[in-house]
Amino acid sequence: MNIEELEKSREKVVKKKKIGYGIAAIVSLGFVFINYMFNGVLEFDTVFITGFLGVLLTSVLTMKDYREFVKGYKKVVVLEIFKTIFKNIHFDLDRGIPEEIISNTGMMDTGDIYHSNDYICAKYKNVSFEFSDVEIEEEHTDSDGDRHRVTVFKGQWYIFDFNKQFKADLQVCEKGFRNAKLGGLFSFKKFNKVQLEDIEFNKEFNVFAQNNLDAFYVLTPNTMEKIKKLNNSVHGKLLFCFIDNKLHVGLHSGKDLFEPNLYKKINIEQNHKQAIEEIQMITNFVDILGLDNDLFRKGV
Amino acid sequence: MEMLLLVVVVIIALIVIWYICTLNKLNRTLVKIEEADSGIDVALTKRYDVLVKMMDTVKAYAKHEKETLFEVINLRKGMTLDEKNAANAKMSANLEKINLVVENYPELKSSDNYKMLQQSVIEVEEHLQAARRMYNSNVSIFNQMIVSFPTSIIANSKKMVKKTFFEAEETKKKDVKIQL
Repeated sequence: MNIEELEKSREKVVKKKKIGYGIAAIVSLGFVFINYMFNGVLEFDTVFITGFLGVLLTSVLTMKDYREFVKGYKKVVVLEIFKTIFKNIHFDLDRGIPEEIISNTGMMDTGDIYHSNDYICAKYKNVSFEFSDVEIEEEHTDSDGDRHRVTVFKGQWYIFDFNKQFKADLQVCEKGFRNAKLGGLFSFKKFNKVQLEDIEFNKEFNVFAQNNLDAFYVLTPNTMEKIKKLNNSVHGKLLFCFIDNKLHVGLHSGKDLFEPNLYKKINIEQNHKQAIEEIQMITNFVDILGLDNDLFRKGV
Repeated sequence: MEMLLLVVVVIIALIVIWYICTLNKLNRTLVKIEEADSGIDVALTKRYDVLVKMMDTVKAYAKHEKETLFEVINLRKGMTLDEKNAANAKMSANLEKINLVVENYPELKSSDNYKMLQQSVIEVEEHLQAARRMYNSNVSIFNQMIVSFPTSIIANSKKMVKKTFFEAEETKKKDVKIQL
């Protein structure tokens, strides 16, 4: 697929959607008219119901084409940018980071509905990383017996090779992320709450470690400063888990990355710029945290 | 009268509970300090081991450098904090001497073995810094607790005194100043 074909694919989806919405509007107004003709009553309730059903039906009917467009966008626009920044790229739109990997960090429950896609595995500055969009939901039943879904986590999950070797797990979670299960009472792993010497850091983050010394080893004053800097540069709640010499980062941003705007004409320069901005989320972790510094990679 | 007695009993019970909780908290912090102290011991031993390996490598390479006298370091169990500080300072002095000697031997400096040892030195120093920070963090918490009222009452009755911090090396302090 090239840019022209991508634009055609976008126009095709938009056209189908417009036709669908148009039919829905005509049918809705038709119902109002028929109702008025036979019952003599102007009732607009049906407009909302048929309108809603029309939008729903249109979305279902255009889903396949929309997915094709999104896939094309990611291959034509996003992957091309990846190739200029990363090495050894493996990009799989249909798979994501497996649920058990996130579950194993013990940072939060992985809920009733787990969904992950847009998997990227690559190298940046010789640091291997994995990335994926992740959405975790829980189903709740209220006092009236109605079931509804609550989002536990929606955002990105990153896994980086960490440049320090440590024995025990360490969890760092920004305060205010209400679904955190840090150092959980019923966790199979025993965690201690750690107070570090940086008062500001302690105010912003909760730190739990299996071994306090590892917490001080990994979270040096410099690293804490960098984490605070990262926290100021992102929108959303940050979670860090240092486990098996890997750094897991969860960014609860409430949005997916690299998603195209269906109603905006493809402008390759603009789209590349947007993709680069979003890629900076990944490169910032390596650059700001200095993960490419391999001074500590080989232990004694 | 009964009411008054009840109030007195409740107050005494509250004081006893507070006394036990506070004393436990102080004792737990002391245990944490001891744990952190043993962390310093482990890190110092690691640093010592790497340093000995380095000194052996340098001595084997620069046999004719008789004028280089390394400081004698004795590590033993139950060292006081001052003794640990002194041993650590001696290790740093020896490391500086090693670096000076190695400057005259570019082949040694560029050898894989030496590079690996240098990397190990960085690694163990980072571990020592972590142990020092953890120790000092716990000491800071303890010292703040024993001077704060009313915890100071229990601390004084148990003859608890302020703990000494494990000092950062002068060179490390200088490094920090440069960075600022």
